[in-house]
Amino acid sequence: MRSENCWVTGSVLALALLLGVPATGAEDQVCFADCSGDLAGERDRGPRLGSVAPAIEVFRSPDAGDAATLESLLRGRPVILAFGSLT
Amino acid sequence: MGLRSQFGSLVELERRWRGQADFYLVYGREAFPSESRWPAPVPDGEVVSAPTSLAERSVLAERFRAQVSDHLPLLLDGLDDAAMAAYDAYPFRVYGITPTGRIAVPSAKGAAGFSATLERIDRWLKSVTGEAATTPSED
Repeated sequence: MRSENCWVTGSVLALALLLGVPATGAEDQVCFADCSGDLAGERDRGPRLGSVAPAIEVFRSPDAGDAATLESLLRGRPVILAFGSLT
Repeated sequence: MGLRSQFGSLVELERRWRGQADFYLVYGREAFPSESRWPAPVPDGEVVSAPTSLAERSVLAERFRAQVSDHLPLLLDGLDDAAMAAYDAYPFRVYGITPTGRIAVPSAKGAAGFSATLERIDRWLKSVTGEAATTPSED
């Protein structure tokens, strides 16, 4: 997300909160509202330090038919997973 | 500081630890597509629709990678967003995982948390490898 998106979205959500409009959507989406993630109650329920990393089944792009699991990504070295999207 | 800067820091970190740790981008649910309550444009100004197939998601994922780094391997979450849910990774997060599959560096939330987590990952990698990171260089 661009920084201007961050601030524009944050400003809109701040106004919505002031007006009493729920900041989360009907499907329990939590929006990225400010740089701390606090303004709209961005969740913090991910796996904790020392816990077993949750299993995943993902696909290797661009060949979306090629599945990968966390086990297949672990090759005797640390793994860094960075989740994100265009916006 | 925007997310582009955050992922720029990720790319720099990957360069520093290339060969000693494996970095992956995981593209999941689009944060603010046209169907959302607050649609937001992607960097080229377009407001994209939420993908309805893995093929559509792959197209957006490649655009995401192009914004970040063509070098990093890209993984797609399924349309059920199971991986993002398991890591509570919406809208963006970064985790460090040991070679035995345990969480070594959990992600903090928010853009500031993303940046702070990258710093913790850097320190963790220094501690587990016992080596200094390589000098970043251009791809």
